[in-house]
Amino acid sequence: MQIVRGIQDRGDIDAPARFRPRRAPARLVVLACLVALLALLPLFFVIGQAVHVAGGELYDLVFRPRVAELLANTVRMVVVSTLLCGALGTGAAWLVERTDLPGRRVWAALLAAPLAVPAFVNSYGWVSITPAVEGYLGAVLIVSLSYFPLVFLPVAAALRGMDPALEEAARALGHGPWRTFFRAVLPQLRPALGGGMLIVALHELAEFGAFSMLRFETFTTAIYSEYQSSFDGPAANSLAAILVVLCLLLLLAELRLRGRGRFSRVGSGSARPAHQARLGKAAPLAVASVVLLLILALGVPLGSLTRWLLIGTSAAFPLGDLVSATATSLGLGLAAAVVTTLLALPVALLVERHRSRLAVVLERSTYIAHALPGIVIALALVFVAIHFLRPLYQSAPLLVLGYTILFLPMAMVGVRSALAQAAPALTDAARVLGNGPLTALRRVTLPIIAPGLGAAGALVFLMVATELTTTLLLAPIGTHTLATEVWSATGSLSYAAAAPYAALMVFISIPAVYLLTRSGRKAEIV
Amino acid sequence: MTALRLDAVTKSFARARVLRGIDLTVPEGGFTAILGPSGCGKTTLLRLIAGFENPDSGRIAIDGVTVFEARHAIPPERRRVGYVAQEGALFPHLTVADNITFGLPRRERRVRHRVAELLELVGMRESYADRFPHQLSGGEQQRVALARAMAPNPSVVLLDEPFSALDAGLRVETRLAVADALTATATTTVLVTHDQAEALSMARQVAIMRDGSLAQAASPTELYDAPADIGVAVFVGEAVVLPGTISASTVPDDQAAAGMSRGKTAESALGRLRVRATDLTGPARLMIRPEQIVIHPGSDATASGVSARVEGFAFYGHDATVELRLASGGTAITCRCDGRNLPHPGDDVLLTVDGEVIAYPRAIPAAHP
Repeated sequence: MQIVRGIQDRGDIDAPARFRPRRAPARLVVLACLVALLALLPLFFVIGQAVHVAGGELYDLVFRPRVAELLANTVRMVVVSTLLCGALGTGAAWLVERTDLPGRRVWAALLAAPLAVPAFVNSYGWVSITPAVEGYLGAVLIVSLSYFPLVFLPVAAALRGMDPALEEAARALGHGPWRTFFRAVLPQLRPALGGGMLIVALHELAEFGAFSMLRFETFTTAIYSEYQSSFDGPAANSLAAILVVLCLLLLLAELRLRGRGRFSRVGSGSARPAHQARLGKAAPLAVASVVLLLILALGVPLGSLTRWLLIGTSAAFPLGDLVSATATSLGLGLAAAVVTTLLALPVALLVERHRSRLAVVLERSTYIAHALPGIVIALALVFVAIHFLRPLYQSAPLLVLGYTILFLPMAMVGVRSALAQAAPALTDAARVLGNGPLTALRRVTLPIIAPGLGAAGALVFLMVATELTTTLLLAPIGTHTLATEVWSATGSLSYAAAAPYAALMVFISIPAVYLLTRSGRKAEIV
Repeated sequence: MTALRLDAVTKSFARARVLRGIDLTVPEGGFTAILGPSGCGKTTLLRLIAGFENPDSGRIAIDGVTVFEARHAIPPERRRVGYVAQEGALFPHLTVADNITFGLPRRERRVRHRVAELLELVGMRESYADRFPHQLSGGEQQRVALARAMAPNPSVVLLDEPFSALDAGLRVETRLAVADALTATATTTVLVTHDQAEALSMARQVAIMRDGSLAQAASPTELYDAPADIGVAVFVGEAVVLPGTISASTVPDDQAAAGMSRGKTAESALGRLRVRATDLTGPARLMIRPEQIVIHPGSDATASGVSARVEGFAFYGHDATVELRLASGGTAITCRCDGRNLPHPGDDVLLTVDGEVIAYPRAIPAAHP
């Protein structure tokens, strides 16, 4: 009998063999390394700066009252507003997914919609009504209203996918509804909630336009004003280094929070739809709070925008400038979409088809930009251009490169999931049916991945069309995009002049939000 | 004519030696199954034949043409093999018709009647031609995958556990449809599976694979009746294994002359048993198939047998297995018998053994060289 057991216990040589990665072609590895190096450039820049000004000077630059003040501002804003987003997002998600709230489907769609209003357009909407929102409280309120959908979407998805058997098990073990929520439901929501709040916090650390408009100083706005006064100065760069450290600390905290438990269903069989709580008499109150949230997050900015649009068009309508800014935004978006998707391809191919430790490391490095604020990426590129590639300084290619680093993580997600659909078994099948590697690529792989690549590119395109911070720092003189036009108009308090550009930005963002919410990978929004 | 020939094929991945020198010959038109537990390297072997990966050493020839030898490898697209993967691997962006004609030269892809012929071959109606893979059931997908593999008239069709993802009812039906198609065209086939019933019922040659080498390659009946070792015996079916002592030839010469085995007998808990021709004497292990054990009612005075008590049974309809415990020594015995007239638990019965048993050395041969 020992022999028999010997056979059966040795398992698992076959199963991995079926998916055993084949050795990657050298050219692919080199390409992927280059892409990863590009993505890591901002990190190298920050580390390089820290080393360069090491010693007493660094100490003086980091430990000064100005930094302490910025740190306090940034931290209290990020902490309070992230918690607020967590509460708003989870509450809204629970109402929409787990109660008999009237009109749940409509509310669910509308609660994701604030993502279509860029945070600085939201600030513009508020601040052009009343200057009372300037300062700390206003900043917390407005960025929370802009970013709570980043928690709402993943938590709603998690609640939808959660196996009701877990709750039933908790109830059967003698827990009431509240204890069940805190002991069985909330721990299951931890990855979605933690992931969503991490993204909110990273967005807030990177946010520039909104805080600048609300006259609230954070690291990002301070870096920008230092940069304005001294370009490539050690002051701006050391602030950037501290900002990056904050971002990396957040990432670590989130990893710790996630812990080691499993959060998917254990075991087989399909889950039943979840049980719905009855709101009863509380239903009108629940509807009222959702409506209030939507009025604050969507109604105010859109209403204000419409008002300025009406006032503005009654005066001179700058059709020429509008067309040229739109054309610039679209052109840059298109270029960035193509370049980013193409650069994501070798890394995604390597990790999907030739998975190895190196491949995973390279893939992870492209995600670093996920945690790096646009302003840091921009500063890094300014530094590289000034010191090594002078002709590229303030050129459109450099700007496109900045977008590429910024949105590479987003493209990676789309390209990877597209490649995952074209399983290696399909290529094998094509090969055995008489097709060489290139023919197999043309007849099988490309037709299957084309829609996914298209969607990834479209997302990058739409994000670029509304990007502000990187554009402000890297755009060649005389290049105006929709975002920079809104920015400069509001800077001079010409709210009516900003309106048509802002309206166009919202219009362009709508498909992006649709793509993001549909993809089911909400946690990957940059 | 030999359709497929492997000589001393070896393959390692990282630290694991997956194949340790495989020799295999598949005659033209033959159906060979490679049977082994998961992890034995059988899928790897199939992938080497298809050319998806290359062996470390050895030689592979298809239809007399060497496709791999000493680092010289012909790419998969020029080996003329058909391959059906576990889940079919149909191209999701193409219709059934386009999938089937995928491997044909460009001008032949338009010829519609070829699609109809191939669909009919695998037992499907022509109306399926315009459907997409996701509109087919798992069994239908596997049939289309076979039609696609056979369309270019390959020298050998390789089937990689093609039925394992199907549920029981569909598996039998799909298995029959596939076997019919392969027999009708006399296609040389190599099937990889971990399902004993599948291998024994479909193939004319079954190769048992264990830890990266072939333990035995033989016809299904030979494999079942004369397994090379206890491991093979237990792998291809149920077996009762008992210790016994073989004595020198004690079968009377007149019986031997009458066509009965001239072989030896062995003393065991089930009495004196006839042993199939063996060089062994002294202590050995005896392998008995459960259906060789016959149960007689305890009241049957005419029967001479070893007494035992019925402990329980499992009824399968067409037959049943009975769990017994021998009166002396308390050894547990399993017996397979007709589903009718089952004894009841607690009954005392007499057991005899029908036919010869097979003896193996007592020492357990090293499983891993």
